[in-house]
Amino acid sequence: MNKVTIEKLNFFYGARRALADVSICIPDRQITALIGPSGCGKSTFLRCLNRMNDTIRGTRVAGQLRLDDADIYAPGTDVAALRARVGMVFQRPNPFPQSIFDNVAFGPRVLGLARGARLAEVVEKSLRDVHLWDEVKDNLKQDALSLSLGQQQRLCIARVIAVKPEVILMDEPCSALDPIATLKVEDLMRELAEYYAIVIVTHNMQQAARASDMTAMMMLTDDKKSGTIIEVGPTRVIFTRPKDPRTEGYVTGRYG
Amino acid sequence: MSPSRAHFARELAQLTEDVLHLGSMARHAVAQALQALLTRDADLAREVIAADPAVNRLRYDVEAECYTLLATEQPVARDLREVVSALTVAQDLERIGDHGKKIARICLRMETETKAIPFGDLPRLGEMALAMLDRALQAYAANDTAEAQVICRDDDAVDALYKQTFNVVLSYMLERPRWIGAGTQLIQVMHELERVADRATNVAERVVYSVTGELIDLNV
Repeated sequence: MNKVTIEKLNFFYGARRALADVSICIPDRQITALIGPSGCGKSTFLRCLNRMNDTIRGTRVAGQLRLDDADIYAPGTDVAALRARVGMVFQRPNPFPQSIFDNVAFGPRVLGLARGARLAEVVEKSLRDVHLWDEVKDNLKQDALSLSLGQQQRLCIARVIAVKPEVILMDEPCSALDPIATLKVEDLMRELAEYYAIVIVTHNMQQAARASDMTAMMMLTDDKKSGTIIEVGPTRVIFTRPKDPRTEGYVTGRYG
Repeated sequence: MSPSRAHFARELAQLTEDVLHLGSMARHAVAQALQALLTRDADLAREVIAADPAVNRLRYDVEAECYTLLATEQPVARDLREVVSALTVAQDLERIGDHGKKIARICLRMETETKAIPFGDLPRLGEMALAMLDRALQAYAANDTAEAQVICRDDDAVDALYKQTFNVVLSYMLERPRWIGAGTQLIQVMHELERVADRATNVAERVVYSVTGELIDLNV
């Protein structure tokens, strides 16, 4: 079943078309990896899915983006509610300069989802789900910035899942982490994929191969001006017998 | 875009070269064993048997090369298919060397047979099996899937000649029971040659896989 359906998405920074005719279906409860060379629009694409690009002046979106049956860009869409349903984890862990507890409690508080004992339950469950609870349960009032980078990133994931999203977007979530912390996040992604649709942008080919079910290859169009998806398929196919020679060249590291 | 991973590309080229060297050693074993049989040259047969450990050694070296490339270069797509194909091709080639060794052993056993039996089409069967192996190795060297597909037809011809030669030898043995000993040995040689042809087909299948990613059975 598809969670997000994108048809002929075109995205503009002013007059410049950054994404050209991008079409892809993001399956529910699976991990979809977006790969491709730097500057081909992977992050721009990801940020279209929860309207993060709306914060940049002069941008424009054309095409169809649907979360289940709802048009993500329909006039009157509650963008804050959309971002609760489509959460995002960034390249560098970005906890708020607050306590561990308050970081995870932030979303449920703002959205009015829980308070008091119920809020504490939500925080505990979220921290348990990212396997951070045992490490921080005695120090919930400690500053989140005192955690290691790997712990901070898992805290950020806990912050996202505390508001019960449906889709989690991850923009190179492991690029600042060491190999052990990276594998922990990858294991966590596998567990989270039982409940959420996950889309991850990664420059690490082995990570895409290890940690995703579907892989989409993005590249610049022939005129080098816009990014687009050139091939989508099950990860096991993309990494053993991709159809497009450009995908072949990129995943083998032979060209690019 | 510019080509990269030059070091890995050189290692892959070396791997292909080593596989082809293994192929030429295995081919040599079968050709020499056949010659030893047809010319009743026991010394040559012993040479073939003595050379077999070197064939086995090279196969293990190729295998180790593949494991190293898998572990250190983490190849994917076409690169991955080339490495895993080299693994299976090396195994088939080493076994072809074993078929040569077995023919050489039969040659030594037949040395004691005083009753010479006509070889009939056995030399031609040998030529056909070796030609198939040559074609498979050429296809491997050139990544030539068209050539690889042709090998399937060659294998049918080898199978047909095998059956025909088998029946001729059987009729000899029925006519003259004193030829039963030598006839049985000849049938074993024919069987070894037929297996060489089958393994050449396996090599051809790996060429197709390596180039296209399709796993197909050419030996049908």
